[in-house]
Amino acid sequence: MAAAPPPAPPPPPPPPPAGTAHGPPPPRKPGAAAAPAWAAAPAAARYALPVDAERKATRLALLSFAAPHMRAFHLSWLAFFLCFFSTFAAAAVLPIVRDELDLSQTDIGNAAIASVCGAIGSRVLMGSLVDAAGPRWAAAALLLLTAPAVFGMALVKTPAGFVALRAVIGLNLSMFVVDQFWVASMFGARIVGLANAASAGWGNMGGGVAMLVMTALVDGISRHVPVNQAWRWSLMVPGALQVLCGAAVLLWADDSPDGRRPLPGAGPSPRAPPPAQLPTSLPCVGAAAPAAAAPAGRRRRARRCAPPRVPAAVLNYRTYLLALSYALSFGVELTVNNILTTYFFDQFGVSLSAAGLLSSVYGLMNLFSRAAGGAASDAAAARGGMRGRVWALFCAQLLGGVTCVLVGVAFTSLAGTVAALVAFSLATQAACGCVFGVVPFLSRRDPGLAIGIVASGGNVGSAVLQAVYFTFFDFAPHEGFFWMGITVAGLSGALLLLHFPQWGGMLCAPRAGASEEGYYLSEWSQQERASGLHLAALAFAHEAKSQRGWGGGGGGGCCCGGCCCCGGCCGGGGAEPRVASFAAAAAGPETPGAAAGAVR
Amino acid sequence: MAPRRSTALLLAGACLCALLANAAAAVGGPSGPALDRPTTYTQLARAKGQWDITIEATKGSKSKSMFFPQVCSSPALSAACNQPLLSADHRDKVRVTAKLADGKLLAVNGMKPDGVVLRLCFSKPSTADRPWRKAADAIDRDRSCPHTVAKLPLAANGTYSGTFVIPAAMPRATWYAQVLATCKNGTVGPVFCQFDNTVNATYFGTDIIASTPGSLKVAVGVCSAIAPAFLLAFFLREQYFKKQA
Repeated sequence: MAAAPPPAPPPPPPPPPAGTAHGPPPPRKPGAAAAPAWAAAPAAARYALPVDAERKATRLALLSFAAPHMRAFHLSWLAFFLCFFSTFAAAAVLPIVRDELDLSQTDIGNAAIASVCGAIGSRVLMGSLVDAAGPRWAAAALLLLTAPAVFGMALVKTPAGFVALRAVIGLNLSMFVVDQFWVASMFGARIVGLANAASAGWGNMGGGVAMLVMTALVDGISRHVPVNQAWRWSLMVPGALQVLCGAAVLLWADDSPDGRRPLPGAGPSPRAPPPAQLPTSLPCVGAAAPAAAAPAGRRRRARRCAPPRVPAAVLNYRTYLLALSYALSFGVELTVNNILTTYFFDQFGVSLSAAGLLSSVYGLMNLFSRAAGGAASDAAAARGGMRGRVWALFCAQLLGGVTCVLVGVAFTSLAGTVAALVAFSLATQAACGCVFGVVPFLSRRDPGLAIGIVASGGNVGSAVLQAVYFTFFDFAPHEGFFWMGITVAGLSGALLLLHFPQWGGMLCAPRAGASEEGYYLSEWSQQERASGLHLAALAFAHEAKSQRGWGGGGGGGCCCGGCCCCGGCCGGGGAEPRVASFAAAAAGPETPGAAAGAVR
Repeated sequence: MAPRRSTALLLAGACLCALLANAAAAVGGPSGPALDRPTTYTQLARAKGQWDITIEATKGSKSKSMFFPQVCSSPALSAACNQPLLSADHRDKVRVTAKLADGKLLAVNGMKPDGVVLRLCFSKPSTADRPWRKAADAIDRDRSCPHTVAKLPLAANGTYSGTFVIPAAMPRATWYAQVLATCKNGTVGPVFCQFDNTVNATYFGTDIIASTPGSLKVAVGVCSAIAPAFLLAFFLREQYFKKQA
């Protein structure tokens, strides 16, 4: 049987229409007022970095701050960094605060749990906010609306107030979703993995830097005011940095390479939506006239005429397995950030600043460890495809558990504890990077929701681990590390259950006849596929054949670029997608211009 | 490929085991104590009872030289005899005086004392659910006595006294006084060879002082208002310019 030609790639998106930040200026109507300066665009679009067809950068220039790509990258990771810094600033000065506020161990544990619980739901919701308002406004809103809570911590006087404020400040941790979405909007497929991992890792460093900087701040300020006031003044610093960063995001950042997205209800957008935002749901049958006939300044919302669908990411068991993995890696990281300064201070009797310095090592390893995990995942994929990625994740997670045990074992030796901590941080943070080497392949219909659920798993894991090993049960802190490590190592075995039909799992080969197209297109119903709503996923499925590795391709032995085709041509590889089990898609709000962007 | 991969895995596992073994070997606690060096309160208990310890307190800066005896035998913070609590607001002070009942100090194991240490320790209720204040039988690991009132050489009259000014960072708690005698033990450094305290006899209470000056409140108020105000202002600005466009 002759090999079918590869599917034609989707046509390139239309050039940016007039009025975008990187398109020609719009023709001015006679008598019309001049457009404001921020809306004016250069005559010819120019990017500082090489871009692909979606105008996403194909290179990461870390020393550049050029708009839109690198400026967004740096502001994104900086915003995430400051959110982490603010969340763990109070934990860094806990040896002083606990006596000042008459906190008990239960209060401290509750505050640590509260600081991570706030983001469990907000991480899921933040995906929707980013979709609605864009990453720029989402980041600015999070920074500027939580800043008062950060400042308010300086005035807290009771244990209840301390717990409540840590819960509110902990909402900051949902900046992770904004960060990952924003970076993925700016960087192409070849570089997005490294960009995402670097951004997330540098953001996570905020916890470690908080340990270092806050204790040094208290030391410095206490030379001028009593120490019981010094910690309060020091908590003004993270709040001020949040305000500055929020202002910088609003003033200087773009949502995407095409510029800034208008807020909902702000009128028709002069800019085309990003090509990735093809319609993902059917319009309601019998809907009113198209968007062009809508009243000026208002965007028509399609009427809902079908029950809402259950998102594909929610029905995919792999989402929850990866959420468990993230709980055992990032959840551990959050828990350790909460307790490490106090552990060094109490266990070894070092000074507060020395305890901060030692505990900062853990968070500062994020400078390269998370990116290293992402790189390891990519390297494993080059040899073994998705099975290699899962094995890399398993090894990193298992090593994280073992090294956590070592931290608990070395509780009488400061040098031993620090050495074990270095290894522990490397392994745990690399595992975080490895998790997000797999997550992008979970779902193409609900990638944001998949990210949100997995990310929330980290917070859930931290809340549970904090509660079990460091708050409610009678474990000494070093025993908490020991048993937490045993738990992580043991539950790493859950990854044996992670299996993709087209790629296989750790111990299982791919299923015969399974294909990437079959896996991804099953998220759409036949009716939706007939309308072409699946086409963006089809292109991704074609690219995802690169994740085939050990055991041969799921598509009847074909390799990517060989006899692969879309839908139904190759033997085995083109098997008809399974009929989706979802109800008819709800008619969600249509993106303006989406119909023009749809490709048949 | 499979045999090479499994060999690599075996090597990695062996390296990990070696690392664990080395780590376990490297992990060591402090070397064990010499057999003739008492290290716990239990070992010193048979020499207890030689001291008459009193606590006096000055409440308020007006009474600079008038110390009132503390007679509260309840460790509860809310006990009437502990009121009013001492604090740094009024520069309150505590004076601990320890007198040898017989004038001569007898240490355990026939050791020769050469000094006395007076300390303040958290009462048992004040250490509940606070492991950073946890008492331990091993004197070196006892975290319940964070404040040293005085370290004094041996006195001929057998009376030892020290004054402790309540610091600004004093927590809310009740305290008792402790006396520890130090002895030399050959080439080993000074060790504790006798102790006594005022548990179930005399306590005093301390309170936290206000640590939010007016300037801090103003700063928090102003900064807290700036952030949402900026967000709202920018939102309105973008709305205005969008409609203009």
